Amino acid sequence: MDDEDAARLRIDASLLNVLDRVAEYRRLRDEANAALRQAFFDLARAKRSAGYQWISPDLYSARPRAIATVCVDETNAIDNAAADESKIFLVNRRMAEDSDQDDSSSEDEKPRARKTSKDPLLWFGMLVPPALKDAQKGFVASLDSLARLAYLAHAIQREQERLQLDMDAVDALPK
Amino acid sequence: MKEIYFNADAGYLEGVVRGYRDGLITAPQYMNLTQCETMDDLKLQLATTDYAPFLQNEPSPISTSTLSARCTDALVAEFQYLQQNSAEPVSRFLEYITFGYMIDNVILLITGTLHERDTHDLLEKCHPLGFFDTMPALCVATNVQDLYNTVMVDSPLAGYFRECLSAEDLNELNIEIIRNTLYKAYLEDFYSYCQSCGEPTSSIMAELLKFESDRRTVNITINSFGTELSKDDRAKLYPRLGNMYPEAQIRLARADDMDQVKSILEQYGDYKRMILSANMNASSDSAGGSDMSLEDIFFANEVQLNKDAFEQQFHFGVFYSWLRLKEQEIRNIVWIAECISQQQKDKVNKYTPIY
Repeated sequence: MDDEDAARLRIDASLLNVLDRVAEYRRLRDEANAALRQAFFDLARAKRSAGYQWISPDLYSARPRAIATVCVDETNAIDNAAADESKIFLVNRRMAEDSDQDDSSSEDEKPRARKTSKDPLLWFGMLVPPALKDAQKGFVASLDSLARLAYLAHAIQREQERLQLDMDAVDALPK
Repeated sequence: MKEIYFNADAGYLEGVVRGYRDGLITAPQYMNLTQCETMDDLKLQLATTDYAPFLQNEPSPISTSTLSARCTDALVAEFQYLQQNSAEPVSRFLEYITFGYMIDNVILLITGTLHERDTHDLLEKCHPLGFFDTMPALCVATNVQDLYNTVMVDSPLAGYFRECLSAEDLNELNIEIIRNTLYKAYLEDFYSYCQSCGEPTSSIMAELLKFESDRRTVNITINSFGTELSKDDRAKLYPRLGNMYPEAQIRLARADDMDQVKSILEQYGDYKRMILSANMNASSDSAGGSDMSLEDIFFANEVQLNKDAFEQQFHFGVFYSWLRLKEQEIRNIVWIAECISQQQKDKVNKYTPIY
């Protein structure tokens, strides 16, 4: 009975943990949804202000480099459930100084290549409307939420699998 | 006496452009557009407008970028009809209007080359009204001197490049300076040309171009906040005409934020009235969400000035005004389309009504 009681307590704790994560997932998803919605609206405002010709994919760089990457660390997720959650999905933002090192190889291939700035906002010109800057801030801010959402989805799935195993183990115990 | 000879040179085209003006979307039609739930509904409503021939072959669902491109095609077709049927002096006036689009194309090609875009892709994206013969050669220039000596010297924009030759490499900052310097020279030259046309063209176009200059001054100021553009460089980009020249421009060149810009504008009668009337409309509107930004105020005033240009006859300003009103109409249509596609129905009425 002690084993069964302990197992049932573990199941209860796991279930509460799953429900907490689901609640956090829903809250974060609503926040990200609102942030992205506002960012897309700001983008529409910027297009209206500057002209639809000036804020379009036609002005994207032919060699875009991401200024933020998401690193996935799976070892902690599998081996250590109590690991610091912030290490699982990390959003790394590249600093402006890193761009000079990356440009060295491209400059060897194209001696006439011009140095361009890292901020993709400058693809659309130096004097962009404030709405475009607001849109960029919105998209940048939502990236952290999206990385957290990806982690939570992964964590909830893991917890559900563990919960199912515990419940099967309880059912298998002799009555 | 000039009016007697005006119809011989431009009477037919004035009649055509007044017909174009009558084809602009009216308030009831805008109401129908704002009540659309989907882009297909919007396309159906636009089938009763001048855009129908350009939209009918587009597959559903239509995107906002495609809608913008097809509406622009309609505008280009109408303007090119005017150009092809014009003779001096109307042809010269219409040519002046196209110089603004040429400047945009030059900057688009230089910027695209800076970002290593394919030349053919860039040429396809250029505005049709701004094409000139040596434009494709822009992609080989690496600095301003090359740009001028190999390409621009034979183009209609050659005279405007004089003030740009101090910049050396083509980077984002210099390209922006070149763009605004070219447009500044173009506006001043266009203004001088309109003054030489005599009344009533000179007075009507003077008001329109001065307002355009004021708007550019304010936009440059606001957009330069938080950028590498110094205050001295900012002041050099302001056109040397307009109601804000020179006193307000000196003060705007020193401004650091939006509040300072508004407080400067409120000290000038016309702009103070515009800002106050916008605030009154915002407070009395029960629908909410109708606070007009400075940009909305400028759009509304521009529409009013361009509508007023049609109240007189025998001048070339009707061609310029029709084009600006048509561009505003396209801006409105695409704005409504964006609100529909993004499910932002509470913002759909924030377009600038024309008629």
